[in-house]
Amino acid sequence: MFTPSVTRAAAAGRWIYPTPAGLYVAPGDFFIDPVRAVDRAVVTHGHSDHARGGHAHVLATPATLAIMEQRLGRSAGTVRQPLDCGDTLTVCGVRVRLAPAGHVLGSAQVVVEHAGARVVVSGDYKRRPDPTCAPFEPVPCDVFVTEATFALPVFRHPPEGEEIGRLLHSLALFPERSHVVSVYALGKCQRVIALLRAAGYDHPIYLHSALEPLCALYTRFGVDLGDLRPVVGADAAALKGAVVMVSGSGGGGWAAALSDPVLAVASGWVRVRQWARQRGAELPLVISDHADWDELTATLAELSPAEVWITHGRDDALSHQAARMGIRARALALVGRGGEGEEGE
Amino acid sequence: MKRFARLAEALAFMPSDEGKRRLLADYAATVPDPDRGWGLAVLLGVVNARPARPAVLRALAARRTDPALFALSHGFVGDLAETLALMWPDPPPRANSLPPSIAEVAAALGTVPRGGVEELLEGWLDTLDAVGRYTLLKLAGGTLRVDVGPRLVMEALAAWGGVDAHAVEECWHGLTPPYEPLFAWLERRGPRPAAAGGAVFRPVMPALPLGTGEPATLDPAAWVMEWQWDGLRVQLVGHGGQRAVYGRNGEDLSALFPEIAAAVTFDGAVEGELLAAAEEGPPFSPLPAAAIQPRLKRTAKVPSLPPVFVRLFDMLAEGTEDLRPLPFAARRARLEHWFAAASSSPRLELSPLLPLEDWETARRLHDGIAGACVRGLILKRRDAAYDPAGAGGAWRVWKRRERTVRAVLMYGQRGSGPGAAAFDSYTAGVRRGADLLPVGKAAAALPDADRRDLDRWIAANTVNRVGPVREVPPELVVEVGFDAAARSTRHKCGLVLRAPCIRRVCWGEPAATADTLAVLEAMVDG
Repeated sequence: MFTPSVTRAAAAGRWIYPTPAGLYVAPGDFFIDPVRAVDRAVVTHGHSDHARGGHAHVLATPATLAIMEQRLGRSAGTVRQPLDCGDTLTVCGVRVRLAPAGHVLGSAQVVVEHAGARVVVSGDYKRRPDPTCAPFEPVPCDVFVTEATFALPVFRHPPEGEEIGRLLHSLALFPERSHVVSVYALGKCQRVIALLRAAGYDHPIYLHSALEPLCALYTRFGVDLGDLRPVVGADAAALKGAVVMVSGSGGGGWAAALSDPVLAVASGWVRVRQWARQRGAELPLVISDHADWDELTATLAELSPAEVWITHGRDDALSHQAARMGIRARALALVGRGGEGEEGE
Repeated sequence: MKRFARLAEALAFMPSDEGKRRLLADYAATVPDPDRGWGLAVLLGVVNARPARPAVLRALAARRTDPALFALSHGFVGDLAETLALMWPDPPPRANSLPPSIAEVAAALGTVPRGGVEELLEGWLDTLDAVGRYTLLKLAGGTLRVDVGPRLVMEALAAWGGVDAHAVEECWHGLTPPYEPLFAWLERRGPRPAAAGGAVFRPVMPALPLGTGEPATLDPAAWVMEWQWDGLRVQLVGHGGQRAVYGRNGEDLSALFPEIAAAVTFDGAVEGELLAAAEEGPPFSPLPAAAIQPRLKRTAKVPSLPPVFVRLFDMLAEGTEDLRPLPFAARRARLEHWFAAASSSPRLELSPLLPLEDWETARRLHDGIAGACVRGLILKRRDAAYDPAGAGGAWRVWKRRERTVRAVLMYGQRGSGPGAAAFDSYTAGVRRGADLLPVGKAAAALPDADRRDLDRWIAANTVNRVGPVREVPPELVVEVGFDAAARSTRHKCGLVLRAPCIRRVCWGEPAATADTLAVLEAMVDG
């Protein structure tokens, strides 16, 4: 039974702290998700604002390392050390363990223990089930380091089944129109495909070429995505009423083969109408790989850490909420995360 | 209500009319009576309810949300009703109370006393999901905008029922929500409802813009000329005691302009421009179109609303006789004859015909247009029938010459829909002392290359962003063209420009050389 301690949490601030390169664990001499090239990095997951290239040593889950190798090639890290979730490693008196974060394939929280204090750096996470990755594991701790991407009470993601239902309804209503779904290449793409499959949609799904390698990687790691085909070169007749996944808003020469496309945008941000309009969405799908307001606050309530540190996002609202819950909050304001409207990547 | 909210949401995001028709047809096909009829009536704004004020929404927010979190959220979302709808707690999975039907909502909003709205909304909000809450709050506030007109709804229903759109249009105006006989007919369950013989709307004839060099090529003897008044184009229709005031898309404005509806004491249909006046008449002296806005939006209290009157310019039916196939000259003669003999209301006037002997004189008249209540001139071919398709260009608009002001660019706003990478509106301001006062959002009327340069400059110089809006440093002078300037209390600079657009980017000219507010004020008409 772990009991969070205010004293240990206060002491932790002296050995784990933000630097311009990222969050630094001094006794172990390593960074977590550094934004600059460093000697030793622990990486929570493969999104590019967390997994930068050029580090000398990288420690991450096997799936995250595979994603980094695919996206970064030679600069994925000179020495890459896999650590499975659940396994523990001791680095200069610092115990490091990875625990699933439920964000994307391979995503992990970093559990760091030193001088009796336990700090959990959660990276990005969500709490709802996702068929493409292991579920978030709540780890009691003195300090919980959290994101706050969607930390405003207006962000409450609806059940993803309902959103997929709206996509299927639109497919039934406009059977001659191609449905272009704009997604992030890593995580969102595969999750939307898996959700469609779970809802019984078994037609071929077409992929923009930028999405193919990561879908193949997911399949290698045992995630079944069904019949996937490249959109480039696909027959115009076959694309009628088909689902086409693209990253970004689509466009390019291949788009000419689409018939009167419906643009669906899958993102947590499109819950706010102005955002959805700005992306040109005809069908906004509120599907996110980040915790929404309820998940963030429920996680704080469940762990009730002595302190919560907020890496990026709406730290103002989450700090206010933490204070209401009697938890000390601290905004780390890490640079290089998120960026306006960017989710995940 | 849930199904209606889904429809309103899908319509709001649907760019194409064909898509909207399909959504409406799907709604009619899958929702039972009387909800589908009430749903359509609500979309068309036929259901009259006193709009709930923003204060009601704020009071609801205060009851159920943390003030600090509400303020942060409102700052992010921007829209009060949307913020409240998103923040309101979701109903538990197995709630005791069901969400209200749209029929129930329409009926209750129409009859609830002012003090009871808050209670009513609170109860409903607890049963709805986010989309339902948003739609309800917008509906209650009178600001549910889905851009769906009667014509589109009729076309959608006609396509769904496999009948001709004109057949639906003929009986539509004789029916009232929830239109059950209409649905019964479209589903082959009942007889075709009687053609509304009543006060039906007739689709309006459009006027195409006149090219700059064009007048010289037209024969003055074949055309007549009128002022184009700056008001609201309306059709006044009477039939057997029924009376109606329609807008240009067939929207029923009778309830908004009861004194005009009361002036319809005849059988037939006449068309004219509805104008606001400074004081009760006759004689009426017209105000710019902006003065009608408070009446359309129902924002002001009744005693402070400006009086309105109509300047008539065409006659489409007299008694039961359809005049539309007649040439304009003949219709005009019938209008004048009828007006002299039968029109009794002081609120109806004739719009005068202007002399048109040669284009030189006409051009002088055009150049000399002053006064904010004239938008320009309108030319009508004497021998043309009233043709809603307007393909022949028998009616032409000769817009008054544009004015320009040199202003400093302040914001750019990204558009929505395809091509959203570009900015679709720009805000520029004029100087008053050290301040810049925005003169409203302007579209760009620039060659493609210049527009790209402008957009690139905005992207490279953004100092702040709020949603789709980018703020830039006050350094770039642009020339803003507009039709007319009028006084307005709704704008910071005290003026409102009609049809403003960016005409030119004055690269390299210092911001200090831009015009001051005084320059713009001197351009205000009358």
